[in-house]
Amino acid sequence: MFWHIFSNRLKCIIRDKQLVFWTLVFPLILATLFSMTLINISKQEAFKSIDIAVVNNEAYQKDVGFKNFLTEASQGDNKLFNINLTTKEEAEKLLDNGKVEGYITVETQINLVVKNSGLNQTIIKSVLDEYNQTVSAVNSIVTDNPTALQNGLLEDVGKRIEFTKNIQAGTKEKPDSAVNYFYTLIAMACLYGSFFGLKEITDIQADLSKRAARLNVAPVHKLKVLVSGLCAGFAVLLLEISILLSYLVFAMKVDFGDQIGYILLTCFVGCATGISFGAIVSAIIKKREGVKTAILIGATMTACFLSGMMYGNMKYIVEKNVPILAYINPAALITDAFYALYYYDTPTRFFTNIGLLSGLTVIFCLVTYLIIRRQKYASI
Amino acid sequence: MQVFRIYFKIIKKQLGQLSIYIGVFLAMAIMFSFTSPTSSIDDFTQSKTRVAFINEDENSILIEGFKEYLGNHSVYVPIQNEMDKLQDALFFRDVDYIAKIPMGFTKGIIAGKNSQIEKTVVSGSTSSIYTDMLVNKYFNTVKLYLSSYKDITQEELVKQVAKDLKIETKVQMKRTGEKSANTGNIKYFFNYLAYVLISVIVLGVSSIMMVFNNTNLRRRNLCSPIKNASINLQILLGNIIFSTVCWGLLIGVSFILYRGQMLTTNAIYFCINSFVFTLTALSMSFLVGILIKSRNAQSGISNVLSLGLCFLSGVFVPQEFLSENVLAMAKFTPTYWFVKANNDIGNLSNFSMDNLSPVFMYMLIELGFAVAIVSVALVMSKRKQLKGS
Repeated sequence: MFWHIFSNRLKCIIRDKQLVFWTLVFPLILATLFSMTLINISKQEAFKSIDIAVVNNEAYQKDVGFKNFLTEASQGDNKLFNINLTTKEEAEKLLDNGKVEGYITVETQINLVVKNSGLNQTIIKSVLDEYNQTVSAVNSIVTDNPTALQNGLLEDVGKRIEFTKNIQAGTKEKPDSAVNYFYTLIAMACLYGSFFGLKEITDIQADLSKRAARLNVAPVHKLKVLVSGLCAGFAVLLLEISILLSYLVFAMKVDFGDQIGYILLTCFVGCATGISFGAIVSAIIKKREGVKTAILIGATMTACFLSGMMYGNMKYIVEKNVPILAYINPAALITDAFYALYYYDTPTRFFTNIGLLSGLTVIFCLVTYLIIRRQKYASI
Repeated sequence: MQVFRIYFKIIKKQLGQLSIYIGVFLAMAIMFSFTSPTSSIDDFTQSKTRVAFINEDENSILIEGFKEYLGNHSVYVPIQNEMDKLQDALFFRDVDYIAKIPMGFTKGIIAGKNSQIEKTVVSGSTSSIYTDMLVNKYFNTVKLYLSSYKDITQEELVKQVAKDLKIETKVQMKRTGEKSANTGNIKYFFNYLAYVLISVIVLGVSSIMMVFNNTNLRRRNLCSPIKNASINLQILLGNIIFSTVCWGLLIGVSFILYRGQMLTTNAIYFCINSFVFTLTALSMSFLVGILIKSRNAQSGISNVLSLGLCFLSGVFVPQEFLSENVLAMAKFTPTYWFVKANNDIGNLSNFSMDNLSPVFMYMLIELGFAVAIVSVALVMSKRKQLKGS
């Protein structure tokens, strides 16, 4: 009997074009749009040598110290600058056309001309500052203590020592914050699975649809109908999420880390949460189907917004200020589980998320069952 | 004007649904434009990186001095010294640089050993390189003094270093004319308007079109003694009034939100541009209304259309962040030109014909799209009619 109901429910679901569109096609379209637009964002923060122009006048040629200093800053693999030695007019033109971020002129002192403020401009200034500051330090030492020159002061100046040591946090050297958007997308697709839950309850509660009324007359235990229906929904949703996941991983090259088993486990639990969420909303709220759908969409979108689908840092803001909200929001939990797999080298956080998700699912299922069991109707 | 009156009866019935949409979109638009960056570009301001400063060493004078120096060039973010808190902060770029001063650091530096600060950064990022620079600058200067004065006290050392590092290079901002326009936030608001306009107008207009395009209704209407052209004209009039009201409502909201910025010449052009775009959105909804048959398809199409157009053409993610391929594709959408015109208007400070002509050009392109879409829609509707469906 189980398989009979199961296969029929499966057909019902797959033939519902609208359902398949929202739970499969729509997330796929969004994934494509996300990756087309977000792909460049994380590249923006990587440092690229800054293009600058230096006005090649007499004062610059005479200032050997500064010349050497700049040459050093524009050599090697990790060079700071690409220097363009040129005339003042040409430098102006380069700046106007945005070919350089700024140009340097040496007159009585070193000047920097820029067109706007920004990190690159700040770096140029900081490097120039460094030169002036070192000169000042050397001057004050030498005035005070002329012997310092013989004791190798200038050699000390030339020897810049690295005072920082990199300690990597988590599993990634360059954590890409854009991945969060894709994780929320899977969370959204899982929660859209609530439409399956909604459909199952609508088709089993006799006061909600004619099909359900007919079904209730059949001599089958209601729990059996419910379970096989939910299982059918779950199977379809899991398939859809797997398609989405493989699309993200293989076509869009989104980094999910390499713990495949756990990634699939997250999808599995996420699907269950989504479906049971739809079931409980459908069972609790005794309104038209349109209203229920609106509530589900609204709830899903709010949950996804709070886990960072529209504005990436939202998830962090919520975690920092209202942590309780992050613990009960299923979208945030799914997103965070993926995030933990991507970035954490300890499994505690991942299992906390999965635990909470499973807890929510169990509560949703229990409440749904308690509401819909043993209902009888004198008249519908 | 029977048709015209019916038009607004239908709208009235859908007012609930439409106002929910307008409300939600407005809330999003407001939030979106408030979270967008504002930059004042008149004076040179140094960028500051966000640093988490964790001191596991003693509170020595040297470290205090360093902290003060670094604090002048960066913003300190208070975060607990817990691995996962720090990791989260770095992932979401709440901090760019986590600097942990290890135990015995001061002693090591004073003794001339190569003590190092433990940093955790997004490797290779510009902000981490800049902060590295600041750290190294400070301690290299410290080292210079230490190797020349063997018995220098920490107070003296910090004072000297602070004195040297106070020296700054003169930075000149090159002006490209007059004071530049201050239109930071409203530009983002108007860009976002593209999304709101497409969603609301497509939903509203297409649901009305669907009613009038219902085959049975249409046949009945054609029997009436009103000329077909008149019916169409009245519907068109209704469509235009509906879209204009939507547009007016949104412009009204922008006046409430950004009073100061709206009383500029730039704002007038923003309004004109958004009105032109309203017409384009109207033409799109006209086409959608002809193409779709059911309400279910309607929400799908309106979502995909509005999200797709807005993602690709720089409404959600600014155009300068988009890759060349995406932009090349975006040029075939009206939203791209709408956003481009907005960006240009936002930068205008001198309203000469020379500066304005590209803006008008973009608006013309938007109108061109509108005309093209309407033509397609008309052909489609004619064909549908001939088929008798």
